[in-house]
Amino acid sequence: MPNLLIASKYKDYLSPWVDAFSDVYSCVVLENIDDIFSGEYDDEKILLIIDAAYIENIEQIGHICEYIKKVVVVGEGVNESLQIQFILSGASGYSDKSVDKAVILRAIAGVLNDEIWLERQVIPRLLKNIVEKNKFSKGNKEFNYEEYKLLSILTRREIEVIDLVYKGTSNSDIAEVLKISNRTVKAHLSAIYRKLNVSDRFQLIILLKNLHVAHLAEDFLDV
Amino acid sequence: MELTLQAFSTQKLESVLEKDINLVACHSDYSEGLKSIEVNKASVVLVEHDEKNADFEQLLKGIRDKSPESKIILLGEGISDEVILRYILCGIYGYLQLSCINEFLNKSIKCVHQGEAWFSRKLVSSLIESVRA
Repeated sequence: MPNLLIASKYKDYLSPWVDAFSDVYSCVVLENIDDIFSGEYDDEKILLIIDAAYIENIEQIGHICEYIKKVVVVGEGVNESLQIQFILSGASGYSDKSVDKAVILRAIAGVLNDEIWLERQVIPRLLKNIVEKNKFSKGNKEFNYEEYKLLSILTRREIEVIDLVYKGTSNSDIAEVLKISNRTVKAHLSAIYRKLNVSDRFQLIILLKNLHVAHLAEDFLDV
Repeated sequence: MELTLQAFSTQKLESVLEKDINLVACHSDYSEGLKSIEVNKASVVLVEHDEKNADFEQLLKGIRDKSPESKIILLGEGISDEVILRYILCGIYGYLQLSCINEFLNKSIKCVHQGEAWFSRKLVSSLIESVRA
């Protein structure tokens, strides 16, 4: 089974890269782009490097990521907005074709290690994007009152857990503070994620920031 | 563009800073620092984390309000990813561990000044995963 799949619209476009990777990874150059969708490459250890020229619309990235978990787009002069769109649509990285071999090998190693690879100067713009989405307040018409009301379905214990997560407390420390087991903390977190329709601690914090709720207990418990 | 720096810190930074970074003010007192930042408008602001200060996020917001062009780097030790995320949402551009000051202070200031971010790739990856999930 190969580590790297390489898909390029023009045969010679990524061939210098193939030569560079072959020492370290087992590479396969896809002759036909539709091979991506064969289901053969649905493995966390496989990474697809795809020529940006193949990407006709941004939805296509999401579609490809349904079949291959880790996708790095390679292009030339792709603007920062589009790079960010690639990432937010599911790609694990973007790299300019002109970067040197050492950098792209670091990128591949990083992505195979579950990191996202983006040029450092793009990251502030991405973060700004996220910050912009978090400017809502209770006095703002964009404040989502329905989401805020959703918090009232939480139990007292869940609210205590959320407040500790917000402070950055680890699961084991939450267990110690609340005098419960680690397993119970995880059970509370699962229930919280399900009730609030979030998938992890980061999403939970972003949701609370959106709602301007720093200490849930103050809003929902008589403390 | 001249690289000016203001710090809210108890650390001795002068001996670490390279000559092309102009430290215009260093305050350990937040309210004094906030007063002077409005005048200094430093390009980069270093802020040492104070976990005992419940209004730390307000301080970050205060810096942004008084000097919106300044780029903030948080100095701290062992701050959890969840808390860093909260501070990112308050507008910080970087996070540097106090134990890495000698090694990375100058580099992080220059990167942030040039419009880059100074966070671990792991943290940025986790954040992106959360946002797009």
